[in-house]
Amino acid sequence: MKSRGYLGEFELMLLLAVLHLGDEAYGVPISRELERHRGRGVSVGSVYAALERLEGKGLVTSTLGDPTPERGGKAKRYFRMTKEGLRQVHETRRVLTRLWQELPEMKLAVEREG
Amino acid sequence: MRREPPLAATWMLEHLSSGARDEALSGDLLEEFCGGKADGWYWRQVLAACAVSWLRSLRVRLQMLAFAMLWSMAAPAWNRVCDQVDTAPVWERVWQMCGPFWWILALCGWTLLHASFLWAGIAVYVLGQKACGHRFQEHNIRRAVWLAPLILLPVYGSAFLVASLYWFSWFAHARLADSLADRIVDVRLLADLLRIPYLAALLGALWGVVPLQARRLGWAVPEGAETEAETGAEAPSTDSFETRRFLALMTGAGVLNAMFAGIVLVRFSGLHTMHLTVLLARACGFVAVGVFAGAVGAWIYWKGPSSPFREHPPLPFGLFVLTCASGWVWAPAMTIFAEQASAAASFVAAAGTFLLVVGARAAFGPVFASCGASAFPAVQGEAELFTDVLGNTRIDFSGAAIALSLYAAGAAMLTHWAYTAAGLMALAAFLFAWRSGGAQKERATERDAYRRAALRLAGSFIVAILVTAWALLDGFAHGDRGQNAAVGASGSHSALAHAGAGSKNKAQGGGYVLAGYESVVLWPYPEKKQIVAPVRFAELLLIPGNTQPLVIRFSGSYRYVQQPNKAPGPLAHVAHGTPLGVDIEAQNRAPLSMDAHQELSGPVPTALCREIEVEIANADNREGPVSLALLLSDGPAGHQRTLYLGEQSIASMEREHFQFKSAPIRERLRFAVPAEAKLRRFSEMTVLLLPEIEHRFIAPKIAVVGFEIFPR
Repeated sequence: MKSRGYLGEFELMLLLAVLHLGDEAYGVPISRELERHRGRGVSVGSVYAALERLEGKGLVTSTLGDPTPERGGKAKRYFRMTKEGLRQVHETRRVLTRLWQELPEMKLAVEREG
Repeated sequence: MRREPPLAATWMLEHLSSGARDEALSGDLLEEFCGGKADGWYWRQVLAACAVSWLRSLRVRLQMLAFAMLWSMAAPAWNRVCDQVDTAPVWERVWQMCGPFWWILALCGWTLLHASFLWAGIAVYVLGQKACGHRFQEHNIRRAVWLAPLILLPVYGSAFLVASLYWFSWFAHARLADSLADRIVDVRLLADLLRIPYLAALLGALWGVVPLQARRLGWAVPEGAETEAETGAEAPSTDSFETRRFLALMTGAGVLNAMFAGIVLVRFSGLHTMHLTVLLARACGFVAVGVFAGAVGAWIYWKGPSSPFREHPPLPFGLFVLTCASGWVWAPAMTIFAEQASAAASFVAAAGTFLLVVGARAAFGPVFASCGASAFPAVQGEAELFTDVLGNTRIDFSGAAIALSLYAAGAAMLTHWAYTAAGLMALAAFLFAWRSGGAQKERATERDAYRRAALRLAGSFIVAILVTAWALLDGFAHGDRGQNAAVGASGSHSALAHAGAGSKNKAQGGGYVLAGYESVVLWPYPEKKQIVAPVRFAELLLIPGNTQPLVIRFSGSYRYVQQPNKAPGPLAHVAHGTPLGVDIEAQNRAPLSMDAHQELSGPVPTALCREIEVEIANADNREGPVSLALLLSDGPAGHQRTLYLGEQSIASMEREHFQFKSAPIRERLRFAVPAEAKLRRFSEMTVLLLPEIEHRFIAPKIAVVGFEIFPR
């Protein structure tokens, strides 16, 4: 039985980036996507480390692409979200949304801005 | 033009980080770098990747690390068990039965004895993990069992060597606790020093024994067949650059290991007799150990987690060893010559390197040819047409490098930097053989390759034995300097007189240097003959109401030895004089140890003594702290019981009190004798002079005047 653990902040961002990039989700675009949204740099090594951890949990799968000359003959490693990953993303979103909505002043502020 | 990322960073990424992501990660970094990222960005990414990798690698092994540390705490206790086994009288008879090859059996027995502690640790760890529901790959456990003694031996030897070289004075007299329980909780330096080899061996052996669950969670370094089987990934092919790099690395590791073995053997072997059979047997042993050490060094890299040869070797390991061994066999001879500061070391190194490279070209050439890349420079007849190469002529610096190496080697020889000269000559020989030799492009059958390599090794082996025997003979003929310590003594006046059977240089008067003694024993000048009845110290101390100290004038010997010796050997130079009048110094890099040894005419009960005062005369004008320690002992040599009374700093040698001495300064140091000492009585007193770095190679000019024993 898989352990039911909620996703960490970085893991959630990674999964969303993988989801957003679709078939082009490999190290470079994922890092760029995270940089774009977070506004600060991210280590590609830590991206891979987190993705491998997610892969270990069965939330993503990876496949090696063909080696390309511009990458020195090294293959790309494409990541794709699994059904379980998608389920956990939705679950985390649901919990976070509920938590945010239960904060009265935040709710009022959001309503005022809206 | 395409930019290239920093080579050092790429090397770090490939070797110092782990995981199957290496290829994808390095490709990603290269893609970003070529997209305009700076060198600094690339370095930061690589360092971050390495740090993440190390942390993950450690995290999955936290339990193993904790277990290895806990288990190695018991190593000093196990060492006591080993000591008891080692000193069992039955071994003396076994060694006698084995004749000159006793040391092989002794080494095997020692290894088994100490490895059994590690094997027990591995068994406890694996069984404990299995009890917790973890599973392991059987071949990983088998590998751990083999790896443990292989790691223990060199680490134990290195730890012993380093401790002997740098803390010899302290190391020789440090003692562990008596009981097994006390040894386990002992955290002093000697106990920790004993634990280090076991900890390193256990960590090295258990590193690959990671539970499968951890591997599946993506924490572990992917290695072994199970990862491939689980992921179904295709085995990565090894490119020619990778293959060439790893072959060079393994060959180099073998050479270094063989040299290290040579250095250890040279330091620890004592050759005091010159018989041809013994000499040849010793030379044969040296060469065989060199080959064995080289093979072990190469094997560790070959089977290492980052080695591409582990799963897909380009050639059989046996063939690799046979090929490289024709170079490794020269390492012991080179080391022996180098220890004697002989120029022959350089030529032996050059010959060995040349043979190694020639053999490697012949054996490895087909491997690279099959990789589809030229590993070796083109030789005449293989080059392209002249018109084809006009546009891309390469400048060849190898000739200049060879010439520079030769000049530098000559300069190093003149200044007696034997190892530097040997290294430079080896470099010149390597470049020459690499550039001029022809690679064998046709792939011979494996049988032919084995046959050729074996023939080459057989020829090299025989010649190497003769050269090693010559090196040993040379060392013997020149005062055994290579085999033992070299102590030089110069008399400030005609004090040193030839008195020992083993010494060879006769004193000629003032200002001369007597070189190359294995050790020196210095006796004070004999005073006028006095007929004195034997003193019964015990009775003197037992006089009721006596508070006067028992005064003993120092009449023993000063002994100067170098590690690993603890006492003067059979070739010790024996002379008359005092440390105040002679200069004794080491003529090699081994620290000098000095003690003053006083035998008493009868045993003194320890319980009757309250304090012992040592009076010294200090005429040393070299600034630097020197401590003095006092050791009481009793019993026949080899089975002595001792009582260490501690050490005290000599005030006149401390930096703040130091002054130039035109005449010897008298100083007294007092040592308390414990009331409840395990040593019931003592018949010998040894004063140990423990100098700091300034006096490690030049004996301090400090003489012992006498002792005063205060009754309790």
